[in-house]
Amino acid sequence: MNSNLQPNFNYVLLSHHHIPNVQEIEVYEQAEGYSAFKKSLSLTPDFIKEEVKASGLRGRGGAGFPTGIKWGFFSKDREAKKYLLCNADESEPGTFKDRFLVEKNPHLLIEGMLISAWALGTQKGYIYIRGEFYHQAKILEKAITQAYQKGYLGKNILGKDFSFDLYVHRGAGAYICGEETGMISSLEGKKGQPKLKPPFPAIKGYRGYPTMVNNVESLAAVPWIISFGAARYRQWGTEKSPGTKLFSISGDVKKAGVIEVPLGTPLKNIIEDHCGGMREAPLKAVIPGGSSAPILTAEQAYKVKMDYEDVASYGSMLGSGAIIVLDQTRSIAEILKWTLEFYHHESCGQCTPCREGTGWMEKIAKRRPSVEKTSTPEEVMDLLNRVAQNMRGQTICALAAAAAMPTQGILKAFPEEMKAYFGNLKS
Amino acid sequence: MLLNKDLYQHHGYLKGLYLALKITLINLLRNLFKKERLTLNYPEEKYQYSDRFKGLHILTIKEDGSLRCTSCMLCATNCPAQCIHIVASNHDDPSVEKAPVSFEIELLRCVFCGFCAEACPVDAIRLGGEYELAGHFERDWIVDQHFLAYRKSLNEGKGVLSVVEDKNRMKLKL
Amino acid sequence: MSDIKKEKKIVTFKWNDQEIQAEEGSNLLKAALDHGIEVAHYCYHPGLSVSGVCRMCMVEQIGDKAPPRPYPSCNATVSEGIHVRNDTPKVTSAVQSTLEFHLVNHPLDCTICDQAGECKLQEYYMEHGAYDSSMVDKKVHKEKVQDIGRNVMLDAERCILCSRCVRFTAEITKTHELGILNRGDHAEITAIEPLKNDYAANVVDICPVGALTSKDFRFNQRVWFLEDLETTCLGCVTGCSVKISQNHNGAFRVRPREDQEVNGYWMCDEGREIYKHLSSLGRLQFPLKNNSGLFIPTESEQFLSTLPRPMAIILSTHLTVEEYEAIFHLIPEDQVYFYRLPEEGPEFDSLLKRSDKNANRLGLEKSYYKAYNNVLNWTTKDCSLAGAKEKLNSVKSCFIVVPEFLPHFIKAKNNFENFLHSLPKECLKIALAYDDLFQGINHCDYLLPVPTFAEKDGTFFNFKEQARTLKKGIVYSQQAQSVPDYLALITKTTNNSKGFSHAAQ
Repeated sequence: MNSNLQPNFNYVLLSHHHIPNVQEIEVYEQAEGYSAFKKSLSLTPDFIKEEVKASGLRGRGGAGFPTGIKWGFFSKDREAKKYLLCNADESEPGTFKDRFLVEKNPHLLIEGMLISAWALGTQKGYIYIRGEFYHQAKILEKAITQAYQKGYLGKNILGKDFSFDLYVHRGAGAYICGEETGMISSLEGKKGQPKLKPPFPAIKGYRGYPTMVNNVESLAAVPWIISFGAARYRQWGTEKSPGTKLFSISGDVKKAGVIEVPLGTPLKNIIEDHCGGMREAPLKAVIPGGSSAPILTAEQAYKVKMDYEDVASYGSMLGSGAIIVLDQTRSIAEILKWTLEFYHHESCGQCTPCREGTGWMEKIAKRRPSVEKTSTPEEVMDLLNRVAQNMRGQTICALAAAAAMPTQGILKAFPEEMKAYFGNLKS
Repeated sequence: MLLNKDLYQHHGYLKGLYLALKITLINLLRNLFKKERLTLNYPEEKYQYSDRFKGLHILTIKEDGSLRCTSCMLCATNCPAQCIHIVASNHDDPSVEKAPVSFEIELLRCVFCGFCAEACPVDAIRLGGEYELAGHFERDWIVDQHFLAYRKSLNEGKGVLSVVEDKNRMKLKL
Repeated sequence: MSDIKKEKKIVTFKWNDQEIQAEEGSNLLKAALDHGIEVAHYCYHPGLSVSGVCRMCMVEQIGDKAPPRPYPSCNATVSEGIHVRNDTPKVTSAVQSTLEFHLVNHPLDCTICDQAGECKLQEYYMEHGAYDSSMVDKKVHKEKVQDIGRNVMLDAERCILCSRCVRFTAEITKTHELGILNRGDHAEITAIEPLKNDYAANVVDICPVGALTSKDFRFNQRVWFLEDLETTCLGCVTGCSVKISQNHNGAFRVRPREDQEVNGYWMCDEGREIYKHLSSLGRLQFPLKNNSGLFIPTESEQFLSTLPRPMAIILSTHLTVEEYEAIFHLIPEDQVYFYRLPEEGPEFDSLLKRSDKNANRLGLEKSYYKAYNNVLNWTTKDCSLAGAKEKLNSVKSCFIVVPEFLPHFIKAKNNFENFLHSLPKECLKIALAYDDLFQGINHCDYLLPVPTFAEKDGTFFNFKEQARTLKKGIVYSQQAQSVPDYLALITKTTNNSKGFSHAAQ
């Protein structure tokens, strides 16, 4: 047997990525594909939920909430209409791991969703993929068609009293549709605006029915956990952040891309070993978890370990695991302006602090002093900090906080550079 | 002449009279022989009031010559004599939107307190320096906006420019 | 507006230091507002669904099961024993900062905006804001002065996107004319199609700022010069509770009052016109005599005492119950007739309007029965029908009470003129009217001024036979006397309580 066609189960998510044409169902099946699903059909749903809970798998979309506990909130009534939604919107700047997962190995996601649907008792599932991923959506649709043909989807799957229908739904270019209730609104055909919580989607979600929303990576990790058990999953990572994670690294490194490493790997190792080190100039700053994560200085970056707790201890967040590496040639002020421009563009406009705050912050950051301008750089930075602070905790969804945290992070981590920027603005 | 009892008893009548009238007499003699008199020969000489003097109202104008007033009616509300009567209406230009079609002040009721000028948010009404307002007929004292803004004494009928311009309105700190 | 009274448990909860009793599961913000607590809010309206977008009604919960941060009270429900506060430093600073966000792009339109004086932005700024503005950047500009139909003007720049108007057109009238375009701070309210429903003017009332204003009321008065008169609309038998804003210069607008038994929080657009005749230039100030087409002032006592008999009176259906009782006390049954307005429109338009425009018909029928012990037979008494008119052929003088709001009723306008024309020529026609603007005025020989519905106290019965009151507001015609008062003058001069039937002594 050609070992090239066999999966490498030292990886949880990228186990099949070296196999050519693994998006074809026959190739996947030959590489032990769907065996975890077949195994799970002989296990009880409660056992599967317990296993996922014991593994300590945390939501990989950015929030990091333990998936098993989230599943525990879900209704256990198997007769009731319920939905399983996979969040493949992946709009957080810097993140491209879900795309990498789905375009090479779509069947892993389908298998993960099947096992989750069996465990949760959901009858229908939707994969909400961002509109820009046209190519990836087509790959997924083709894989789903193949799965239907082989009897893995549809009615009475593999002869059991279990039916699951899976659809792919493309978004249309809104970051806010990656927020779970925004995604549900968009799926319902309405404007992609987040809903008030409570009621939570697990109680009242898509069309008023209980809905479970999980990230692509979280669902794709489930087959491995079922195949090999929670204890083995815990061999990687730390006590509170077990398992492996996909990190999408971009920026001024020699080899950018997606890697899968255990949680708790020092960032230094990631940059120097996996990415071949800095390209030319030395390191200046790292954004560890997508643009919403507060920036880390070079000094902090060389000390931090990539797990949820350690990154949080430096005042930042692991988020989606999108690492953006910045070298000395980068201007932090430009990063700030770009970040604020993004959030201003993407705010849905529903609630006032975010709608007005994102626009205002962008204007402040891009201020040009007029002839009568009297504000000192310190005053401008104070104002920006105050506006950012006022946006947090007041809004329907977390976009406002996602815009405020990097602003405050940059002002805190690079005060001298920002002061110089605001002081030197040419009129 | 009646004298203060103290003065009379202490000094006697004639000396008491002299003491009581001393300052007055000194001033009388001083004024008699001074070159400059305090009296103004009005109307040939007129007293120069300060810029803060509250006289006849001026309705200021914008750069294009139209009334600065947006008929917000704050002056009419604030007026303690309730002598300002404004009728507002739509203006064709959407950037102006609201303009007064009639702005009347009953000058006989007005107490020239200046509350209207204080209340106005756009410097549309001021109290100027004119105080010669005598006349014969009561109807002459109900003045309209043509008189208040464009009378001859205001830049020969061209009007007084307001300090508030709409272009800068958005940037003003209130 | 539901008539069903559900048996719900009443629980006690605490807001700041006040104990409040409310239904379990009811809206927390509504419970607080109903008990007189002032909570800043924009997007919440008790007649619409919860939206939670303004983020002003934040409260902080005290206790061990409390959520970690302040939450909007409009999305919370009342439960036993919870203790919420909106006077903690966290909440007060949240309210102030949210208010600042509302004002960041708001244009400086206070001087030209009709909402000044009743604008929630102004009120909350004075109470919770009072900060120095740090916004020196360019504000976002949107389209102003848009006429979106049915007397409503839209100014997109002033809008704070509370979405009350969008929810109204979606949930109440279900016509979906208004929506929000774009996203972020370029989001603006727009009329997807011009407003076409019969309740469009309600969006002007619910808009907390001056984004939606009434074209009808535009720039006529500043609201602090106006007083509200709480009365009832007599446009149809529904009898919605309304308030009329008026001052000594005139009446300027009508707005609905909350009345859960009749109209909830809304009123129809037709009812919005009922203030126009109160202070119009056509109001009759003194009695007039028709001198070959020219109406000249005259003395009423003089000609009232020399009227030829037999007399009849044709009443409208808009008088109050007290007036009817007084009239029926003075006049025998065979001399009383009525002019009943024809039905207009669908019987019930499923929201508020009804086709029966005779507002006090039920009250009239009640008083008639009480006075004469007979059920009112409309076929014989309704003068708009041919059968009753024949009986007037022998009448020598006839009092006609002109129906109120006549110009608003399209069918009735011309109908009434034809009716006046068809009365016998020899009959002396004395119209008891409030203005000289009704069609058919030239057929009348005398005009006597009467007060309008907003110038008298009284009761009337709506379609559900519930009593509703009219209140006396500012009187715009000093010499107007009510119908019973004129009739009393006649009986006085003849020294006979049933003075109508007997010749003058």
